[in-house]
Amino acid sequence: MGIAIHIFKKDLRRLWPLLVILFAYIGILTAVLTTGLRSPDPNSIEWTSFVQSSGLLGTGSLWILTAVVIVFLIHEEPPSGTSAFWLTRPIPRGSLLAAKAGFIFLFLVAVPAAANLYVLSRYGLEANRIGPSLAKMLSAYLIFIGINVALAVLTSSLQAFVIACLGTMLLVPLGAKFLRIDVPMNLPFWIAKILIPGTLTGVVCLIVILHQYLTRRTRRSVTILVAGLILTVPSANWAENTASMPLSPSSGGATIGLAVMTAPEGSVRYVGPERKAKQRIVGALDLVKVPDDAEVWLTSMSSQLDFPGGNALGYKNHTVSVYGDPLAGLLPGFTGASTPKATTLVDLLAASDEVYREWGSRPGTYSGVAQLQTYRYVTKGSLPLKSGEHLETGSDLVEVSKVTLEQDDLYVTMSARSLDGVNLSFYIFNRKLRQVLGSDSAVSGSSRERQLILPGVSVSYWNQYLKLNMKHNPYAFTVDEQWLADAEVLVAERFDAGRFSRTFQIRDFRMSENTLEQWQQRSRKKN
Amino acid sequence: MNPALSFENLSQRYGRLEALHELNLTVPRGSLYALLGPNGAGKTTAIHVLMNLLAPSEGSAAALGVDSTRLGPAELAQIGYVSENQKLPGWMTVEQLLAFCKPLYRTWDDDLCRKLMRGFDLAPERKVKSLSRGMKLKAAMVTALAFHPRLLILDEPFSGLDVVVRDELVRGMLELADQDEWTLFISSHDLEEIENLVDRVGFLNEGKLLLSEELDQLRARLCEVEVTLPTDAHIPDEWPAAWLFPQASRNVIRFTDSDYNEGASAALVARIFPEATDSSVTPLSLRSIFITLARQSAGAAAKEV
Repeated sequence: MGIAIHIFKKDLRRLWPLLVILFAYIGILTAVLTTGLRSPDPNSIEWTSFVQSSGLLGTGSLWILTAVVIVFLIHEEPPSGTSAFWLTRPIPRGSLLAAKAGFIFLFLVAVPAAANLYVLSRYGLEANRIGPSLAKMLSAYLIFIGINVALAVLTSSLQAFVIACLGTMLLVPLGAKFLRIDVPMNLPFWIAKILIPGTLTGVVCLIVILHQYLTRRTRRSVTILVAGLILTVPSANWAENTASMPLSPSSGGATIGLAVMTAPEGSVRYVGPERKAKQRIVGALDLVKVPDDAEVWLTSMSSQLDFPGGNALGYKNHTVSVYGDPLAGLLPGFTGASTPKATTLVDLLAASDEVYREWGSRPGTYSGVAQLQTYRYVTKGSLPLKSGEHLETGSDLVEVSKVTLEQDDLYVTMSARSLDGVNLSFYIFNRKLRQVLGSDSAVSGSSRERQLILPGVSVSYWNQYLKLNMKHNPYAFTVDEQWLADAEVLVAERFDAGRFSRTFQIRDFRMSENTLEQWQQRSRKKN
Repeated sequence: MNPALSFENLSQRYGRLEALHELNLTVPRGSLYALLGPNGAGKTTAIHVLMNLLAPSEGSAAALGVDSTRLGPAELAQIGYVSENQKLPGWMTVEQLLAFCKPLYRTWDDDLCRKLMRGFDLAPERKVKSLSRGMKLKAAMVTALAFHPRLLILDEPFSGLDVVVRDELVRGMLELADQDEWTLFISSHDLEEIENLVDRVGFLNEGKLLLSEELDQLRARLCEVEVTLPTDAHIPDEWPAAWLFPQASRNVIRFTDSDYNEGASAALVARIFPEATDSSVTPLSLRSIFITLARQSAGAAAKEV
């Protein structure tokens, strides 16, 4: 213990100038993040606007600074190479490890975590969200620290460390590209998304660090790190992409089902850039029993068309089709809340011209697996549609910045701020008349995120706007000054509510049964 | 009693290159031993394995009776190590460096440390990175000597140093050698200082140990012999294998006797050169011995090829 403290003090003497810069940086970052909290738009304060827009302050710079401290700290007594002074001195490796770990936890983890905690509390984050947020931040940050320490212990100079970082950055995406695991897995979302990739990376880094300090077999440590990271990446992808979780809250006993509303209805010739001509086979699909407050996204479709004799045509389509309209649940009975769409055309297959010519008219059995993501909407509150009105719920803040009428045109701008991945939606409605400007055209805008001090938890800034010509509006009711006088903004939070898949089968499926022209003719007749 | 250090069938490979080949060497405690050899002979590799800076490819090494791969703080607290390749923490002052080292050694001797600092004329307030190469080695030497090591390992300590600094380092070590019961193991190709410092030498070339024996014995065994003949000299057909590198010049033949024995060698000269009018024997300096062995080794290697 005495030697560990001795080394710790020595490292502090060596690195205090860097620590001063790091802490000053964290201090300024904290000040920027907590200045002007009453306004959801950080650009309303000139100096923070300048600092943020200049790109001087960001998590990236903090990470680089932290990585530099780590490299200098570890390379004070590098466990690789043969020329380090400490290698031939009576320094117990356990003491050395303890000194380095203590330094990292005290100055590189505890200080930024405390500053981050302060920022979160200033934002008004609810007590029950602080624990999970902190855990999320620390797990992400410790992975970053772990990888940096692992690379630092395998190198003995800053240049070698930078090269190792670049190599890792190349290696990890390569691993992700060539190694994929497509085995479905039923795990709670937080385990799949955070715990598995974080733990795997952490364990790999810990093994490398301990192995290198205890054995100083650098080649073997590098092998462990490379193999570990390559295997961790697809594991993380696997966990993230195929994990499902129970639908929450319960959909009331109803099971969301996938219904094939029609036989495949069209064959659309599709020519994309730098792609071979393909026949696009589409079908109309619908989801039934989607809860009123939910929205379900079809995120991918895996298909196979099996022909008699063993031939098959496979296809995977990453697409987004949205089912359901949460307004029906948020504002039940209001006029303007659109009803769920009857059908949505989904790409079922794609075939090259050559394949299509040979197999297009032959019957087969079509099997499809649809991956679906559910979102639920919960009302956070409402505020009058008047300039300067605020709504503050916990750490989230919404402000109506400006409402102006110019002749018949209505302009509304709003700003909002939310924390920790909270997704906000905005709807303008009139409570007395029970009318709402529908979700499709209501309020559009953009949002941008900025990380706080540690990674993992971000603050989102929203800029929302609405432009509406009141004389020629798309609604079945009149929007005028009187309507606006009683108008309010409904703020809803959208959150992930689970993933699931549905399978379906179509017998006697022929790709060529309906051409694009025929499908268009049928549509015209219907209309 | 365990030897101070030993190598047993030690081989070390870097890919296809074999830096050491089945090195067997034992250095008794209390010896002042020099491992000699040209650049690239494998001296530093042997020391790296001994200090557990490298894991042996085959065989083993031991220091103070402990296998090198198991050297821990207890053993390292008794071993002083100085190498030309060692990186001292450049940001520290000399004083800070010594203050950092002191708590690591129970046997740290402040008086000795001060004495060495004075002897080496080291300025405590100077930053290590601002020191010259020689001064850095002196600072490293102080950190390696101030705790009365039982084993001092020096890897090419004189390389690139001027004569004055070399002399200071040697004097410092000799002074300590008189005081402490220690073993010195030094690798070098700078022979003049070594000659005054050590009592045993080993000669390593291309990874192979060619000899290891006491310096006095080596000096007595290797002599330059000069035979004067009445007529022009020719190297005779009958030539003992221990007589190396014969040279004939006018009526004089010179050679190196690698197995000199006063009585027997004189008799052998008298038999091979019965007409000799004079013969003289000159002991070789360590430098000449080194060159002789290097040439002999190179010749043997050429024959193998």
